[in-house]
Amino acid sequence: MSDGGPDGEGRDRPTARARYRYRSDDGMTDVDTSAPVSARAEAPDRRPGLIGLLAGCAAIVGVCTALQLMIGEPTLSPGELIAALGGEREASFVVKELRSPRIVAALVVGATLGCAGVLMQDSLRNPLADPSLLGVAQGASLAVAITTFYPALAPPVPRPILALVCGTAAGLLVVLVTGRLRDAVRLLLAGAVASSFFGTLTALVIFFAPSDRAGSVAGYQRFAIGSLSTMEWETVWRLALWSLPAIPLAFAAARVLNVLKIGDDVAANVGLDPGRARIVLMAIAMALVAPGYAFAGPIAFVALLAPHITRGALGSSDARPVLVGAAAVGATQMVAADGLGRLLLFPSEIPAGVWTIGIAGLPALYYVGRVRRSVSW
Amino acid sequence: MVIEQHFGVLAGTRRRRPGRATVVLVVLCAVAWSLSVRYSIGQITLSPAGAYRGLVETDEASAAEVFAVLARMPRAMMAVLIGGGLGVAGALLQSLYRNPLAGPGITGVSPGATTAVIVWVLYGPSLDSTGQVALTPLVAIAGGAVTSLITFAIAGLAGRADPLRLILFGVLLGGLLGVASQLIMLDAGEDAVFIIRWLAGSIDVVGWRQVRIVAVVLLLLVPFVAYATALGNVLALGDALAHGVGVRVGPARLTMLFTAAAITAVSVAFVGGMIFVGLIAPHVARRYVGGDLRRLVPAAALSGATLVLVADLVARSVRPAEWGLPFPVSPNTLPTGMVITVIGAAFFARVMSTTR
Repeated sequence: MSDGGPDGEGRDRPTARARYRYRSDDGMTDVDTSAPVSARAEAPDRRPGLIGLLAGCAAIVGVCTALQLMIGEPTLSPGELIAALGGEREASFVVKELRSPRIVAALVVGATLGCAGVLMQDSLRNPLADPSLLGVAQGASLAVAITTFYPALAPPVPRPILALVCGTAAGLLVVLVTGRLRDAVRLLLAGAVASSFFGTLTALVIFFAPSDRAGSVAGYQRFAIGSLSTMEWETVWRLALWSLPAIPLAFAAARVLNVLKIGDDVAANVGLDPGRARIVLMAIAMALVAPGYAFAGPIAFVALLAPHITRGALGSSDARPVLVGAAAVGATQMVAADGLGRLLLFPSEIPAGVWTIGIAGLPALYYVGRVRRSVSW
Repeated sequence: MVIEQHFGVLAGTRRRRPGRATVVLVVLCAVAWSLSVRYSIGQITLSPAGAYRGLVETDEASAAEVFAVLARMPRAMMAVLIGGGLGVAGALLQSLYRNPLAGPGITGVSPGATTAVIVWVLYGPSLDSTGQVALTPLVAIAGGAVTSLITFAIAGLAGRADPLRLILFGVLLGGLLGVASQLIMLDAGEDAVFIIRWLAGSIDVVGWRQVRIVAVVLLLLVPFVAYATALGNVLALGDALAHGVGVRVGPARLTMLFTAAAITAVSVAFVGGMIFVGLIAPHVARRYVGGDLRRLVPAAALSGATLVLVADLVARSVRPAEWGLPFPVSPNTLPTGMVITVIGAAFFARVMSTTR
């Protein structure tokens, strides 16, 4: 839907940014492959590149991890931390069993979200595609609510599988209903309706919860925001085991993503069925995010922002480096959000899900508004 | 293009429609029918004659008839008021956004109001119930207005407060507020269940006091609606033309947004999430009376009222406890808002898939 604003928003501008421009008119090409080469030759490139991005992420993660491990009850000095990591001191238990698991969990959840964001945005060719904006998160939450409040009704399948099924159903519903997938506003509205639909079903589940489960409401609500505070090694292992198989799949799909991005016509010409490819890619994305949604709660906006940051930093939309970068950026966002939530108001804790809004949501809001200038919807 | 299809009158492609008088008659009949059926279904089932006796010829009615009708009256009135209000708000917003798929629920207006009410209920001063009832709609209006203002401001900062940016930031802000209210509810403890119930949208907790407050506030808003209607019709001609006839586009949009937000806020203050009414009612109305807001706004109000009445009927007729579920079910009726959400989502899917 282009409103043809008089300010010439859709006009070509010779910047490297043009390289990952999305267009909603049915032109033959989506990615402007002609502009960037000359643009890069003209303008000095100040982008950090993949190595720089990874180094930056590693630095932030390192600082956050060190702070997370040191601060708490008891607070350790760096020397004590090293001693605790190595030895049998009292603090060793606290560091190894209480503080470490949530960092690993944050890394895994963030990395999978970042990858899933790339898969969804590139396969739908829509800059606003995000599992939490497409109703996937709410679908997965419904599954968790059912298993929480009706242990008797819950089928004997593991929670991540149930979250995967419900989340995928929600996401597919939105994608099928939307039709014109590249119309970002349409997708956003359909996702919002699906979110409130699944939210209502969840409320229904809570509403009619058996009275002996009423005590679970507070626990479920903590989960529904997205929190890593109750992570133990056992949960972390399950989380990692469920989500790791999907990561190689995502990287294997990178080539398909690159073809799909050029346009459905071109994809068909080189022998790729765009519809089927899209479904497979979406399924991989769901498999990536479902374990996180099942164990850590519906973390919003990380999957939306991480790919955009990465593409901006790399100056490229080649799916292979972007996947690597987005995984790193997503993991960094999660670790930072969890660290902020735990340390900012130290004795009391704010769930990580809230901070992802601050770290990812608000920048995404601003960024998407700005990018509207160079993206025609 | 979606816009031309749904704002056919303004785009110059007039659809064939049944006569206006027929439509009004049909809708009024629907309202009357659902009102009458509404009075006869419930814990005490009345015959239509009994409902009539309880309502009009109270001298000849039995105590049960009078009681049942009295108990059901405020609920029916509230359904009409909020259905009408949300229908009007939806009509204004869809015209403002130039998008027949938007509505007060998914564009931040109603999340703003509900978040404000949740904060008020949990952390506000503890008043006697009269003060509580009187102030809740005002708090909701304040929440809706602040959210609208923020949406407008961000859209302006990001370039220009055009319909697309308003939708975009409205939806995102609504999502943020949803998480924020969940965070607030973490501290709620026992109150959380009550708030979840309220958010689900149930009319069964209202009495005459709430009905009176909502009626008065909605009545006060009528002049604003008239003004916003006129503005909306001009804005629908396009920004350039509206500017040409002397309307300042930005302030006009803000006025429409504020009016719609205020109506939505009052409507959700007591009954929570019925927001899909604001999506469906204008849509249905537009099919019959076209896109001219002078006709669309009243028609949307009528169809909204009908929708909520019918949904409330359905909600009261469904008895989950009698389904033989393998666990005890505590409240024996569905919240009306859930019925509306299910209807609304199906309706939205249908509209979405037919306008591609």
